[in-house]
Amino acid sequence: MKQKFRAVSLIIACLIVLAGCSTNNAAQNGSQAKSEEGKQPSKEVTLKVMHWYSYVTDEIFREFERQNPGIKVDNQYVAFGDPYFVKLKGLANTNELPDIVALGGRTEGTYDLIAQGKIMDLNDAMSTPAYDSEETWLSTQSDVLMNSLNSLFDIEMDDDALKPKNGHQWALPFGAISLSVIYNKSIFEQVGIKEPETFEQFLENNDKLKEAGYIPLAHANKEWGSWWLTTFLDQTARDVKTDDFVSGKVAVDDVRLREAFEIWEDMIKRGHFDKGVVSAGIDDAQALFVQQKAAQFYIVPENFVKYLVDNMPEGVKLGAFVLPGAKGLPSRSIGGSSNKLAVSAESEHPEEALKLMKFLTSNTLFQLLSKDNVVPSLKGYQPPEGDAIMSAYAKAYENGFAEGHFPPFSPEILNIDELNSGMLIGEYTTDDILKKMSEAWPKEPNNKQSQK
Amino acid sequence: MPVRSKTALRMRLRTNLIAYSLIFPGLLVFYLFVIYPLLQTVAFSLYRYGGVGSLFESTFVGLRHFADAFVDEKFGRAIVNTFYFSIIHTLTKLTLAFLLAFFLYRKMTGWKWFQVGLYMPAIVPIVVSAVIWRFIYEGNFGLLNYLLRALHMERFQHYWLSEAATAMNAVIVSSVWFSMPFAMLVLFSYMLRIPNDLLEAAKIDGASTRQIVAHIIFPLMIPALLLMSILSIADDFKGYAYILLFTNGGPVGKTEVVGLYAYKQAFSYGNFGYASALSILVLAFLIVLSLGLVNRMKKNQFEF
Repeated sequence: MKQKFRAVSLIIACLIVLAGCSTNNAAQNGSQAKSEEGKQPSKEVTLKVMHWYSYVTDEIFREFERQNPGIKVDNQYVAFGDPYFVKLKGLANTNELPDIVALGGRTEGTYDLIAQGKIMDLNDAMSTPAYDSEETWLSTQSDVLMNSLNSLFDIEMDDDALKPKNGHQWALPFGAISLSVIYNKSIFEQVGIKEPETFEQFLENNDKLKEAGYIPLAHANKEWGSWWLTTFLDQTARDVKTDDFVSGKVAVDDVRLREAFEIWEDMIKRGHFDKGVVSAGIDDAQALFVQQKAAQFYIVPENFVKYLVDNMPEGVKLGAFVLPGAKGLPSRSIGGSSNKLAVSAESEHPEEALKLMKFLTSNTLFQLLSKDNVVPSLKGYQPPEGDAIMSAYAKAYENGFAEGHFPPFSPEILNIDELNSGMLIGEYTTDDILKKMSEAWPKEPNNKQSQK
Repeated sequence: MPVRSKTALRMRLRTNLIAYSLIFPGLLVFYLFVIYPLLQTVAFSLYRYGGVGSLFESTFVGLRHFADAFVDEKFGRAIVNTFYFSIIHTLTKLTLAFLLAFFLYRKMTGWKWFQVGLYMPAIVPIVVSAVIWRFIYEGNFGLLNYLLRALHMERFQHYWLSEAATAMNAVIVSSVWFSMPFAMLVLFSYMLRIPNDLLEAAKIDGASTRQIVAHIIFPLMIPALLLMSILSIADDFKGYAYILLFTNGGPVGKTEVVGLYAYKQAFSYGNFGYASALSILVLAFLIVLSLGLVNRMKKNQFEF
């Protein structure tokens, strides 16, 4: 009898231990503090924000809290990539989505989240005043970035009724990917070259740098592999929209795409990049530039300009110029609509969450971020006075933002970064890539023509 | 039922109840962390599931994912890469481990210090190991090319991780570096079990060191070598973390192994169903392989 009792007690003890391992959902959600019996509940609201932007620090949210007493913000930074999106999906599946989240694309589950009603429709809120202005929220945002974001949603979402073109706004762009070429002035002086005014001069400069023993361009292929190609596509195929491929108006091996690939292939063959570029990441590219082995670097300003400026050897000066258009058109920045924020439809404090969302897409916020060289996703951008490098980014911003000019391939069907890398190691030519694209397009889920 | 049988049955039930209650926690952990995920993987493999929402609200595709795997060129490429990686990695690792284990077994002066030193790579965190080796292999300022330049062997310089011909071998070398120490330790401990009488008798009979290794030590080590082979091959087929950190499967998929390919399908492309199907195919292969090797191991078992 004693042994039976002991055995049963042991089983019950194990089950209690296992039960105690579960999380307390109520405590972890941004809910009001629970009140003990007889006490009044606290009116303080806590909002959770999850993102991958390292420059969006706690100080930013302290400023929001200062301006909005009664609202606290729990800032959760998660490194970009699989760690972020796996966590996002996990939280969505357990109904613990933070109040505001950064979203990815189709493969990161964005459209599934929308289809399951987990993302708030901001359409009605867009006509209300912005955070720091009497203008409507919508009118303060960059038209090009908004259009770019919404048109991609229109193409990639399955449910027609939920598409932005049918009156929905699921996310807003956050920051603009604005690109310029940062260069080492000392190397330029030594080689006897100047900032290029045309693309041909840019290529000639690169040839001279190579002859002088320098790597003309540092490039972080692992993270930013397709940026050059995207920039050239904006020159050669400016009038082609992503939707044109979907509708069949433009073929995936169109001559305008061929031209962009040929420009890119030409630069590779002329040795304008390091031979090890295909496996180079941001840290490798930065190291080449800082060690003065590479003379130029085509990068975004946030996070990186400050690093380069702070780590260059003493006495070395840096300059920046807007990349001259390969076809003579104004060189546009590749758009920042891939960075986007959304509000959770399951937020327990929707009004406060909306207020925070407005703050995160406001002039107030981007003024705070200007020290990190973040280019805003708003109308009009003024660089800090006297900052020559950010002035170049401002000029790039003025030229506008490139919209998508490439067929919307899903990465598991055709990975553009892999094709790009293949070109870098000489495995693929332009003809090979266009052939692969033609073969892959019929299998692409976004190709609505072949799905019929 | 006779009274004696009832009593015996009750005694048996009581004994079994105690036994099961004691192993219950372990069984529960085993179920939660091994059996349940396995069953879930099988379920995932039958659906087109993106990882968000309920599995059963996704599209049921049956065995479609398995059929797709057999015509998937990239999966085929990953299998070839994995076989190459696994064979070369395992052979190199075990050869080196055996030689170093024998070196320790000889117990030459300072052998204990060597034992500690040779094991050090195994305790370096995998992330640190990947970063260190990336900088060693870096083409412009990496240590390897620097040494080759210093030795006037510039013609052997390469962009080790960027060239199709060298990338996978570079990964194998670094993998051997951190995986060999554990194998060395296992083989060394196995060698210590070999009775000294056998070796002394062989020496008295005039056997050389080479003959002792070839005809006594090596045959007796076969079960350990087979065991380490199973573990190594299984790790190579399952593993992805190191290659993800090191080369991410590049350049252009030249170092992409099946583990990494399945990982990307799930976590980069959101194809949990397809990734699960790939995992099950790999599991089936490893089960067949393991059973074969375990059988072989049993035949070579010796009692000391």
